[in-house]
Amino acid sequence: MTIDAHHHLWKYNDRDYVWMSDAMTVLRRNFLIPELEHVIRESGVEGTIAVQARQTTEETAWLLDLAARHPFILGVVGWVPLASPDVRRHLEHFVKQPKLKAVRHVLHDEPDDFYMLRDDFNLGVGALQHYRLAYDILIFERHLPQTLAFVDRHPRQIFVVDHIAKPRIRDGVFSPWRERMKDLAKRENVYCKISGMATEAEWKTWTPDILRPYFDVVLSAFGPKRLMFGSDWPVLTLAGDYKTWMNTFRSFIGQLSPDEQESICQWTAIEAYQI
Amino acid sequence: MQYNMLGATGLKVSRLSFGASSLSAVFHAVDESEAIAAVHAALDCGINYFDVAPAYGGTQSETVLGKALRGVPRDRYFISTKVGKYTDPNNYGNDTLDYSRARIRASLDESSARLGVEYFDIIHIHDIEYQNRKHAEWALSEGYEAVQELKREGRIGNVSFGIYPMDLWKRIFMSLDIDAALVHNHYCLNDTQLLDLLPIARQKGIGIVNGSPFASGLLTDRGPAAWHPASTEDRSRFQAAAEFCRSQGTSISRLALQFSSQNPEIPTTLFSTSKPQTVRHNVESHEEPYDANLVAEVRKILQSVLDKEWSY
Repeated sequence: MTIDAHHHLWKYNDRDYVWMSDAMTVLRRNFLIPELEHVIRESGVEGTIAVQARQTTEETAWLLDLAARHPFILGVVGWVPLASPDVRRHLEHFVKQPKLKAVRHVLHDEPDDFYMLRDDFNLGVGALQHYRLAYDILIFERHLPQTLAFVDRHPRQIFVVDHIAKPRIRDGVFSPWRERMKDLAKRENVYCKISGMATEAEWKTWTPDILRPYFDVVLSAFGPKRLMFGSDWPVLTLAGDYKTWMNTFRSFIGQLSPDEQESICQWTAIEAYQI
Repeated sequence: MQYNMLGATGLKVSRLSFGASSLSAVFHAVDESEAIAAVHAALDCGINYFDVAPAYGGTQSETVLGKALRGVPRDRYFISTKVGKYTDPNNYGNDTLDYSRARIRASLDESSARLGVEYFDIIHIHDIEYQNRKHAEWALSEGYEAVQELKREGRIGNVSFGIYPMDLWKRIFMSLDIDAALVHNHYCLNDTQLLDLLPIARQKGIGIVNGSPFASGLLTDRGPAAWHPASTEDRSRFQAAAEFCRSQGTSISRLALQFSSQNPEIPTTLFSTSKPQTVRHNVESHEEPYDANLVAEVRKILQSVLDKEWSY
């Protein structure tokens, strides 16, 4: 089985998706279940994790409702107001739905690059472990130093780094992203998603060879047991279609043993998200 | 040190974990400062899970472990203790079994105070089969409900039992909603019955904690304590196995620890010691893959006692 551990769904409106810049107009429409089902089937993906995209509890409730009605959605990475004193009340409410597997905050769009070190936010993150929820880390590579300090405040919490921490693939730069990812990977409680890579490269001209060295870095740092596959669809469509990304990903893991391939394709996601 | 997810508990525990029973004088005289150094050695080796019980040494193990963990940030380790069984340190075997809601709640408060820990990652309901199982049904009903209640209140993270008989385990796995299971003496060189529980553990997300890799002393050069129920004939089989290991240039305890702790399907294996050098030695043994041929030879020698149920 292959699990896509990272995709979104949305009913588009002008208000909630402010992160869609003018360059992203192709994303300004609905992306819903039938289209998702079509693209994953074409690529042999049987299960998915739906991830929040607009930071409202309504969206979390909506994704959980979709997951309850569509068995192929194995889990949801939702949003709750982690920095709010009310965070436990929200968590108590949402964890009644077993498909809530993790929480995410759009850290990289916070004006404060050190938002992840705020005490109120960390109190919320500290509450997740009791509810057996993972935390998805959405950052750019420039946030890695503070991310190391952030994860070290929660050594027992399971973390999943989205999109290999968005290195500057467009600029062809590896350092200091590579060194910092190796450092981050020393934490056994941190996992990493192979996703969002094509959209960090030149959307029109990227090739698998351009992405490959970045994959090699996370493979050697995290190993197959802490890497999982994700599409980041429909954001992915800015840089290519689902099948192209899947073929690229499969070419990256082609040299690994069958066990290692299975880890990346499904077991890591099952473990990190307690599916 | 490698780490594994403990079932669906969300706890990522070290493959070797530290059992605190030896921190008190249950087995032999214990030097407290050395015992504390053993806990710190375990942390230094990457061990992140500690298990204890008020029953160990008449609460003494909890007190010593509490001293050792003072000053260690709470988020550096997972900890479990147990409820329901209480011992008299001056009168071995004179146990009190109490699985009432009131006693369990008071017991948790007392353990909290001794250990300096407010939140327990797991609570194991302890030794419910003791005293010819006369209190087992009590533990499985009121005791189990009381611990579930503590979980709902957020005082503890996970509900578990810490017992021995396989028939009780099978019943618990089938009929109750537990998060973890401390199974002792069922995955060691002389007993692999724990394997029978793995399919349902996987299906229900129950995190297995494997206890007693040295089979309560049977798998050591020194042999078990006088109280151990093994007969003279049985003991001689274990002595023969120990001798064979020595002749092969290893020791039965080294092989025993390696065998118990290296099954990838079993998330963590507890060992206990009050000596820092033994901690380091065990971690070093664990990290060396065992010799499968040697295991096969030893199990041949132990043929007549394989999977034998002892009445602990």
